[in-house]
Amino acid sequence: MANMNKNSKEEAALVEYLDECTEMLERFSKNLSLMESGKVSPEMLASIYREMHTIKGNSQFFGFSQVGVLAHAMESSLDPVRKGTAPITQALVDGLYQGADVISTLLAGIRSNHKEPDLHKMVSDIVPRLVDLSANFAPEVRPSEITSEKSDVSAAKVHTSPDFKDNGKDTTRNGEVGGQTSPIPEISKEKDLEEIEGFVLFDNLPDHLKLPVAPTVVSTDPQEAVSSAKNEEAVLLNIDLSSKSGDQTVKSIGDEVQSETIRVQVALLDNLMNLVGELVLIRNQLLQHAKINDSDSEFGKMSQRLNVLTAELQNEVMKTRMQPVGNVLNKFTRVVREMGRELGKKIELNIYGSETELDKTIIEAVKDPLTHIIRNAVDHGIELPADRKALGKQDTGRLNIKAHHESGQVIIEMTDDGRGLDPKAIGSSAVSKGLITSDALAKMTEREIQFLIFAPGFSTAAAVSSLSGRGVGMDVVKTNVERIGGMVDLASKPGTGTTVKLKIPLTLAIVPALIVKALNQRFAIPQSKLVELVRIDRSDSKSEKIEVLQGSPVLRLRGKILPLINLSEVLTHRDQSQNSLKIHAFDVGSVNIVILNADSFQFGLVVDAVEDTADIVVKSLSSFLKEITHFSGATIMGDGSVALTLDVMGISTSVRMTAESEAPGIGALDGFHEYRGRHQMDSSEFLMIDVGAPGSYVIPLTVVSRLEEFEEEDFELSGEQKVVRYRNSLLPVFSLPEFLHLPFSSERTRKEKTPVVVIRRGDSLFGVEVIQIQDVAAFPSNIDQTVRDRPGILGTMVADDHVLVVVDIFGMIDAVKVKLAVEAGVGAGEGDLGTGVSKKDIPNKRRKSRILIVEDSSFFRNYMRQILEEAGYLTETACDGLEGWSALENADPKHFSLVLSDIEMPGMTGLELARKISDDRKYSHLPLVAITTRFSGSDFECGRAAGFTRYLEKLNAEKLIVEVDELICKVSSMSESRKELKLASSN
Amino acid sequence: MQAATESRSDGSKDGAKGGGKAMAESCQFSTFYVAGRLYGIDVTRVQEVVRPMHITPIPLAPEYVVGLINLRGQVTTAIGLRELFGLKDTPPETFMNVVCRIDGSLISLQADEIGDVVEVMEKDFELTPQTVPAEVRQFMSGIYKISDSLLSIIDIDRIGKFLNHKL
Repeated sequence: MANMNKNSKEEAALVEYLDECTEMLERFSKNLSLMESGKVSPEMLASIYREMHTIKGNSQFFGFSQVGVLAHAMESSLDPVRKGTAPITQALVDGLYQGADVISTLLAGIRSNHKEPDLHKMVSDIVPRLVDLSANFAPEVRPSEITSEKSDVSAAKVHTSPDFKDNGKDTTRNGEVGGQTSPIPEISKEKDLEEIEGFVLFDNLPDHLKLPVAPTVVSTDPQEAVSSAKNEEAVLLNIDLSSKSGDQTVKSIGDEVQSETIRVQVALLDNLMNLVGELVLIRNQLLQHAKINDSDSEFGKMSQRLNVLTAELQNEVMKTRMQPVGNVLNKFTRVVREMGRELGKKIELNIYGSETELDKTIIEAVKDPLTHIIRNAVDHGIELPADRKALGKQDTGRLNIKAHHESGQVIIEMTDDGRGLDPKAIGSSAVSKGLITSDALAKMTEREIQFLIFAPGFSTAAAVSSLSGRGVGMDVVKTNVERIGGMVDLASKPGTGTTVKLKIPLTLAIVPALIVKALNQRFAIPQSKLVELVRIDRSDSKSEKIEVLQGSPVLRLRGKILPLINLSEVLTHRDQSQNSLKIHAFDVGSVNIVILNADSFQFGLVVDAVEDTADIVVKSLSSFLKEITHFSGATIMGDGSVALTLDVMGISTSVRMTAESEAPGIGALDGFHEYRGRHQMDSSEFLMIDVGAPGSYVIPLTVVSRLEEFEEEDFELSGEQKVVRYRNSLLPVFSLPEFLHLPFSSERTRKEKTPVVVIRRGDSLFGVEVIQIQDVAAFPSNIDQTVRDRPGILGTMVADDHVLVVVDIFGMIDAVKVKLAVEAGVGAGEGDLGTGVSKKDIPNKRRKSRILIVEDSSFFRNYMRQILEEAGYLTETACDGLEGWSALENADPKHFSLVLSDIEMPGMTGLELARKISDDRKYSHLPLVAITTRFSGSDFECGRAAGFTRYLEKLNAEKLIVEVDELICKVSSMSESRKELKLASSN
Repeated sequence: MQAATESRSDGSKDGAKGGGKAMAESCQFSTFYVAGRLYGIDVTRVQEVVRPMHITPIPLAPEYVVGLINLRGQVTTAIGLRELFGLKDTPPETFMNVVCRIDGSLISLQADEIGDVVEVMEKDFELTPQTVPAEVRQFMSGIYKISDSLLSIIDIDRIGKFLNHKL
């Protein structure tokens, strides 16, 4: 090969040799794993053989005797297999793998020390075994058996062969033949082959073929090949092999690499990348200049052309750094195979999408996390064959790795069909390690518990094996992936398997970013974190509003309350303990808010101005600046100045700390903020209020309509009821502390303003006066209803060590409403069908009836489930319409007796679900009940048209049971009543 | 960036004998003034000296981290020697940049004025007198007596160490 050029510098030649050997070894391993899985083609065998031969030749040239000896032994052991005289045995494959390992160790040693490390012991251990393997089979070779493996085909070929001999036109084939035969004579020299009839044949080969010709030179002169083909059998053998390859689809990997490539140092590419980066900057300056001097149209045209070219160049240079992710993934074949053997597990690894391309640095960065996940799957996930059989699974475990592009990111998914993550085991392990208290654990959902495996210091392996579970666990995987801007997701079903999903950016080199201004300087925010831009005009009363929550501003955006952070403030005060973030900062003019996504929870960042978007090249900051977590790096802008890039996570953390330190008693919930970030689905947001008693009281945020503050003189009395003029009507205001009759209601000083939580119920608004509004926080929402010592309290939640009392706002309003006989305008769903069931039948009916609860908020889901289960009903839950529908589909049509569904859900909404269900005849018996906080008259009409029979209010336990009882017990007449309703609505 | 015409300090060819300055008979120092005082840095450690450049401040960073500079596409952190040494006087409007590589990252030390490259003899070396304020002394490896004044030698590795441990 080309690296034999002695004139080139020795150093360069050596590097070339090492690179080539490493490459060949990689291909060798790939082919070996194909071979092991039974996908053998003669072409591939030839390629493996050839590769070893080249390694041998090159190593001997450089004087690396150990590599040479090993490669020679491996080559020899492959020879009988290649010729079809020996079967492929496990012992052979193992030997070859070991040999390849030792060679790569040797090569690594040579690379670092320019000297072969002393591995004679290992070499001398492997070589005899390989020699034995080849020797065992060699003597059995008889001419007739050479092609015994496929005797039919070979027989046919024997007859056709003379044609080839005479016909020198079939050049390509014969050319190949020449290439493939060449190494053989060498073997014949090494062994005493005189006794072996099979090899005697080669003795009369022409001399030029006896030389160890570098085998990759496929295009041996066809004439020569033909002339050498006077040795009939040699030709026969090879024709046989090549004809076989025609039958088989398996391609040797070696051939794919024969494309036109050159090897380039990565440093050179990096350099190129940097230079292009600078070119882009100059281009930007030039464009700016051209804009100003627009009189010179020729100059403008030229700069535009330069603009296009630069963009193209940048794009192409980027591509040079891209590598198929398969470079890493394919290595796992080996890892899985070896671990499987060591653990006695049978595992089939399938890799899809290995051609997906990623930036080289990113590939390097995900290598370790991926390896760890794979190791985990093999070690902890997939069961032993016997166990699998006992479970009714195939004894071979499956491990699938899929890679694909998705909206500018690369998704790598690893799925195993092993035992999955057992929440119990994880939970108890986490408790015993002190990662979480058992109380907190009891309140967590299965998914939350499974996510505990990402907690630092967690490892489930019963015994720490040599393979995985070495202390560094999934937390390292998570941090590593997040460091490069990626995400880790997890889905696991105990007993059926686990899927780990990595979302990683395509490249780190160029990041699309939004440029904003604050403190009179520019900052870049990565677009990946950007959700939307909001501009609030103070003068426009219709626009979104900034409200104050305990001194901290929040933005109500489409019903969601987002905490606001003022960038200038955050960047001025290093010590965040004094939260000087004041509303007056927003009092004047319009406010620009950048809504950002920090690990799936959102917040608004108030900036002075939003400038532009730009593709930036992020450069890292000096190591001593890394502790300022607000910045992730710096970038050079079009005008040559430097701008800092904001670290969205860092900023949110810095402010979250403030929020916690401000509201005493919440600081200890640190751990839960973590969960909030990861899976919003399983926690709900609550408004934390001070009712004048010790302890934390919360109201589910979903029932809160607005937060207001009223002056003392705003309050008026209507009879005995406190009211406030509010939006052209009267808002009845109730005092929560008074209602709850809390004994410790302290003497509170008259404040100028009283915070009021405005609750919408049906078409009416109610105000709940509290002493202080503290914070909005997300908690895993499992409400314990055992402690309900007084009306107005829904139950308690335990979050870490804290007890949070959930206020039953609707219950309270009901109670007060009855007392004051206020017409609330609710009850549109109270169309009474009559209770024609005797009371004593009900408990029986309940036990037999199964209710499907479809609700995206886990808080309400759990709440309803608990209420219904307490009443004796059987329940099943679904998080959205789709899941609800598949739950229905997967069960007997009579499985469920009733469907309770939320209206607004991600994916398939409640209305869509209802339409789907009522369109399907087999569910005609099934009553559909909408559970919602939102129902005005028109909502009700919509729901009825979709097929809902009733509308129920969320958080009204008694009503829920009464209604459900009624529907279930009258189930026989339901189908009719729904028809009636539908008719009525269509009229 | 366009304002920056770099005057590459011409001491780099003497790099062969640099490094072990305590051993050598004579060594060269790149000198500069901060608040009227003369300081020197081993010339082999100075990458270049650059004219005043636009600085992007880093919010929340310590006072002595003045900001970031675009040095031909490389982001360089500017360190204010005045702040670092605790020197209190009115700073000039612009600073010269003494660019060094410390621990792999580019650092620009902000000096008021650039002096000559000075060659000193080993025999003129003295340890830092204890009377020198601790703020400055912690960065000094000693002083050299030169013809018309005293040259305080700054060990940039000590600066690097300080930066990495302080924050």
